[in-house]
Amino acid sequence: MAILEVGAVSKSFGNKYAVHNMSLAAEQGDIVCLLGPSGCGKTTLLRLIAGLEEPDQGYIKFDGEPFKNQPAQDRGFGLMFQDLALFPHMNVFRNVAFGLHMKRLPKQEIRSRVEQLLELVSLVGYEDRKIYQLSGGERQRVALARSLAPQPRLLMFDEPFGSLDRELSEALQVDVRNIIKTVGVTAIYVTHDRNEAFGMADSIVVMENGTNVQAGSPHELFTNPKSEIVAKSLGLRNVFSARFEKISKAVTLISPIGTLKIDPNKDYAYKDGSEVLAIIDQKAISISLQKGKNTYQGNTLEGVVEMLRFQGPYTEIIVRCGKATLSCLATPQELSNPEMIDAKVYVTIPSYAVRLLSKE
Amino acid sequence: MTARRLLMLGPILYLSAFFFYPLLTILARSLNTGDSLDITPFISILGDSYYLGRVWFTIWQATVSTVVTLLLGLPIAYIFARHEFRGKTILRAASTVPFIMPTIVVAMGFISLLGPQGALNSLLMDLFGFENPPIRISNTLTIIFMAHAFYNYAIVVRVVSAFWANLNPRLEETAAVLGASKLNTFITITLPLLFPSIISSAILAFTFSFTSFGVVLVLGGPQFATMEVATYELTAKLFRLELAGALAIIQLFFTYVFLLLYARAQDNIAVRSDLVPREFTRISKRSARQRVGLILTILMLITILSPLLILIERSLTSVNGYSLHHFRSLFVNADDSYFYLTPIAIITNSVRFAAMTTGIALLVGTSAAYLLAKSSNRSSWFQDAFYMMPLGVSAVVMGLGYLLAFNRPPVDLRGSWLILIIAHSLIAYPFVIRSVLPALRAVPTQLQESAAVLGASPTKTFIHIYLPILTPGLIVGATFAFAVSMGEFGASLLLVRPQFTTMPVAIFRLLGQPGASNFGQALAMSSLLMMIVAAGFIAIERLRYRNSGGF
Repeated sequence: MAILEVGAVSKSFGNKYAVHNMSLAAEQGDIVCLLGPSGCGKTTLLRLIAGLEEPDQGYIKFDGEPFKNQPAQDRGFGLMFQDLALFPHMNVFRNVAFGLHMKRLPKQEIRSRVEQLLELVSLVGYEDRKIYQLSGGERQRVALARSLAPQPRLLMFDEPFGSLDRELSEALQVDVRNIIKTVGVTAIYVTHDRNEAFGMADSIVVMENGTNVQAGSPHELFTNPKSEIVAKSLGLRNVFSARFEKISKAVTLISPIGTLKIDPNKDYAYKDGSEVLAIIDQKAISISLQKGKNTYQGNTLEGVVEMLRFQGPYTEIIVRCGKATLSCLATPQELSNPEMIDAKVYVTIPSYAVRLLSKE
Repeated sequence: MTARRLLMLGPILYLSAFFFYPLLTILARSLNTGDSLDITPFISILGDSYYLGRVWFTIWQATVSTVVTLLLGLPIAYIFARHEFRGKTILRAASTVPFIMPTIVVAMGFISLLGPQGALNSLLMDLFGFENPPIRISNTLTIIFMAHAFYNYAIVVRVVSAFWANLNPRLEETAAVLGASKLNTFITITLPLLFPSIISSAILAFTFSFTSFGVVLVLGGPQFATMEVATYELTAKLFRLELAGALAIIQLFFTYVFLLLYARAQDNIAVRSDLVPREFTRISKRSARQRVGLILTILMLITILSPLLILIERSLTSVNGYSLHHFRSLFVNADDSYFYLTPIAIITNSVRFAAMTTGIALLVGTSAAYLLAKSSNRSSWFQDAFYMMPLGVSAVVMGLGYLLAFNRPPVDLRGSWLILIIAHSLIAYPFVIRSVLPALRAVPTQLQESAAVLGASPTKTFIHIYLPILTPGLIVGATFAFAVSMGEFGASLLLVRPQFTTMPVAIFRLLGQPGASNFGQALAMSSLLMMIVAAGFIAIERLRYRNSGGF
């Protein structure tokens, strides 16, 4: 049974819903990532779970017990804000010890617990430092230690690494995940960065407009996104709405980049005229300057190179085809040169590169 | 010489000539009564139980006044910082009006509300048929404390609420999540974070109560004299200038210590703060209990302001009900006095002096603020206190210093109105510093650098970048300077010649003459003074620099 259950929760500010009919569940010891763009209600949901706001509708249960107007201080949860909210008038020790002081633990116990936590976050000897003397990464560690100190039943993170540079952020993500797993606490982690979510999460909840659009493990979501929103928020490129036509031996698909012919798949129930989501694998597309040079079977579309984006190991080529643009990788190296811009090219899309998803 | 050096020289030359030189003159006068140096005046002051009593009285009355001020100011600061409600802008503007009111107007307001013939006593006598006024707090300590709190609570409201409004609410929420109750959160998080701003406003309130002159002189009566009042009496009534000088120097020593503490506290605000834009901190939804608190606080605010409202009401009341009688009688020279001036002439004097004061104060204050903003070393709070010194020195002491320093050729300013302008601008320019400095400090250096990279000369940078950013602060500073000059009483009383009589001095003279008619005229003049000052102030409430932590 899930340890945390959020059931059909709604919360509005003024006449605007911040969270609307939102449900989710978290298993004991799991890290659940809430992934979605800014303003999608992730932070409000955290505040609702933490008890900083009360839901207008729905329930929040922990360990089978529903919360009802229970203030934040009685829930025994932890919450790390994006700006960390370290107490600027206290040193590192007093920050980490704050929750323990609130529990009125004996002094000796507080001291040993703080020491233990500072060791866990690799900040041994930092007890007397002032907050303004710490670097960005050190502050994150102090905030984490402070949240962990009172042994919360649930730990929540609101984009805690948003303000750090990528390298530091990635290093900290690994550390934080290890620490959470060592401690074994259930965690909810809010982010708008999918790579962060992939790196941290046991399961991901994709949020949009205040509600849960799809939940599952990173792998499940990646292989089977149920909507364009989910596909795009997972970073999938070449996601198009398309329509079937003329279903016979081959299936004809009308898409914004042009008409595609694909091999029928047994697992899929095609229906003439029905709408689908077509996702075209960037790596499987090939580009050439002459028509018909590609030997293997596929659809060849005409296009114009619009932009080249150097990505290190490969170059992304953006080609305008029909009414949309197509992002392609794994192309002959000679094409990735600036003179190619505005060149007319032929894009070949093999049948296997097209993934179809029913539109909900 | 570079422009920078010239800029530095300006405020320092000004301070040396018109602040330190007169003060040194006082000191020299006190130490050198006969042919040789001696410290007899200091010994006679400190050995005299009366003057020692004045020192002690000044300290403890200022302490009690400060405590009352904080008790009044903090709840209102909280309301303004964290709550949104209809009419907030007007209420906030109104709440600041007492601070810029001339002491003499405040005193008049208290007399018209709480005096023997005051509104409250009349009301109680009418309602319950008392034969004598039931409230007898004229010439008591109570009314002095009340008036000081009334006068200074706005400092607490302004300084603390500006800070409170920007205090990151995540800190309090984090404390709650970590298990702290509301009370615990307030004690362990909110209060310590607000502490520097509370301390800095308390020190200011203390300093103003410490150097209080008009309130104590008019409301306290003869038995209560602060050091300031004692200095005035030694100067103007007993003509013991050397003793007055010694007392003034002792007072100056105290106030400088307070100002150092103030500057130190200001410095602490900068170090400790975790501030966010105030949009994040507002509470829009209120529980029933909060709503009751809000209403009570607003009622309290209106009560605080009632002396001023009653003052206007009284000035419009004559024997036959409401009329403009008192205002009209200002135009009549009933006693056929040789020194009679029409109210128009008095108002013109005041406004003219105030306008000139404002000009000088802006110039000196802005240059000083610029220098303070640029000096980033650790002793900047020391410099800050240095420039703020005139704020803590009593106006009476300054007046005395001027009389002693500029009394013989080539610089004999005793008969000139110039002496008044100089004294006023000296008291006014610290307010310009406080208004402009937060804005100046908030200008990121990158702005200046970007402008330079884009090809702007330092002058053009100043005109196109700094000036627009500073304009709101400058306007606030200008209004404070104007109000300070309009209401300045202590120095004017010592320095002013009859033909240059200003409004506060005129009110004091009218009060000194017996008769209901003179009292009515004093009320009318006070109302006029209050309205001129309040009009300017309400106009600037909209222009206030948004996140400024100054007053």
